[in-house]
Amino acid sequence: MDPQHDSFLRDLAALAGVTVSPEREAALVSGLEGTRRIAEALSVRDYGEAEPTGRFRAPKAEAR
Amino acid sequence: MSGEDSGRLSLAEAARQIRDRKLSPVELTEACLRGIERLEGKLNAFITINADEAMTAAAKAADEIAKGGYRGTLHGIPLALKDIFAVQGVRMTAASKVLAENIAHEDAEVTARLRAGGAIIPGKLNLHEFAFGATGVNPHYGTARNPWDTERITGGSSSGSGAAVASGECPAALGTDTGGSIRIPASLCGVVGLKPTYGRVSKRGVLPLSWSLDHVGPMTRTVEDAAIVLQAIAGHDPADGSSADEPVPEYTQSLDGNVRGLRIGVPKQFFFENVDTEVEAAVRSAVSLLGEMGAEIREVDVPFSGEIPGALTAIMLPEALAFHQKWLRERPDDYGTDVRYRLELGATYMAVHYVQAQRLREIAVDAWRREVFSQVDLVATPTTPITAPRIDPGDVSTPSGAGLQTTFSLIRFTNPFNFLGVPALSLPCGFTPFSPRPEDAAADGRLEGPIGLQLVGRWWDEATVLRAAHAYERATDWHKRRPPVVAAS
Repeated sequence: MDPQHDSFLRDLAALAGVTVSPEREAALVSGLEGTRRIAEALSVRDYGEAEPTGRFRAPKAEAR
Repeated sequence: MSGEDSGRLSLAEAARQIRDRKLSPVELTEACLRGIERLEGKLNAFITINADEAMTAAAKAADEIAKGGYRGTLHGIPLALKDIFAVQGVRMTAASKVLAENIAHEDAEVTARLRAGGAIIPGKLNLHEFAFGATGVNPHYGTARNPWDTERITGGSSSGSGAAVASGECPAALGTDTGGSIRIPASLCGVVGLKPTYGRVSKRGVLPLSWSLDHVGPMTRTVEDAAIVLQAIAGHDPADGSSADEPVPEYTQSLDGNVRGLRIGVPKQFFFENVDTEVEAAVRSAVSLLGEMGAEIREVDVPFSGEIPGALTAIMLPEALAFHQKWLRERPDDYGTDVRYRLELGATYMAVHYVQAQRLREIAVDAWRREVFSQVDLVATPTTPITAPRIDPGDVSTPSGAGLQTTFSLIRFTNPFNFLGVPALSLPCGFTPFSPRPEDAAADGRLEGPIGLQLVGRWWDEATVLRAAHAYERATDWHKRRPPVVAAS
């Protein structure tokens, strides 16, 4: 394992509020390859003017 | 009719007999509870069995019906719920250690609707922990077993729902589907499973896995039964932000046995790649039969199919982590290894990936609307590329082991339709011999496993999906087969 890689992974997980124990790092490092493939595919696309699907709904207007 | 036989009735037939007072809800519920008692040692489909409450509800239903207060098709019908649906006062574990002592304080919206229709809830069904996996292998409550071969998985995550319905422990169940969790166990267990349009059925009171992708739907032994259960649970819930205010048609009225004029698309790409030979043959044969029955069969391009699974992952994993973040921080060791791994993997996705995946969803939906559903009314695919694999406890004991490959294979043809939000139904379209176990070879008794046909329709058009599925079912008898575990018990 690349110690620098692992440190990056731990820091990344910590930012998301997840503590990754040393014995679990190897599995996550292997999973990172899948994330990289997906991230690359998502990064190269031209999305034009598409907006993300969203759920926000403004509350109904209240009578004043 | 004997009590044992009434436990094998379809929901619709049981309802007709209850309406005509030829069958009592008490008799039917007793038969189901006896079936559960007889089979649970082999199947492990239930986490909680509410026998006393079910019998009390059955007696009340019988009394109401005797007094002329018949409420409709679900009155007096036992219908079990995956253990992530809230039932007031009943334990809701999500098949997890984290929620082992959790008691629901109020009914989920769908629970309330089923109860209002007079349905009886005999218990809560096993699942993949937190619905986060496609095998149903569970380290906390044991693994639900496939009635067609109890050494094999049911598929998941609605594993107990698949086993209970296929074995006749109950005529119907509710499941949830985020990447295929209704349709996969339906396929592997040989029953009908319907994931409706996103927003068709309320999710309020259902433990989420991924808010953007979760769906609630029925699992039954016949298409008519799926239509009946969908009718009861469909419709706008203003208190659920994802619920849509769309009209709900009378689903059983679409079941006319006729597919003449329907245009059914067979994908040119993706959905027939890396599929077991027997599975492909059965699905293509089913499509041919629909053609002989009057449907027009066309090959269609299916845009974005190869890209969707990755984009779906970039949505599902971060959303799941967001929901579980507090518990994962406070009680990480209470999670099964595989689920904990998937949640931790959610931390490796950045906000930009999530947003781009949601943008891709808009683009893909538009492309399917313009390029696919302008050409055809339905798309037909295999539900899963394989039949039920053997249970492998290693699926959950190692974070990135064989289970991950099994899961990836199982969800490949189902999860695109969670991303697109269209209705998709699985029904049995054939059987094929499982690879023999040593003891079977010696006894010359090869077991066969079901194959699932997936029919996918336009947004809000569950009626056409049900119509074609029902016509196919009427022309075949796959749904009449009984799994060996029933005959042997």
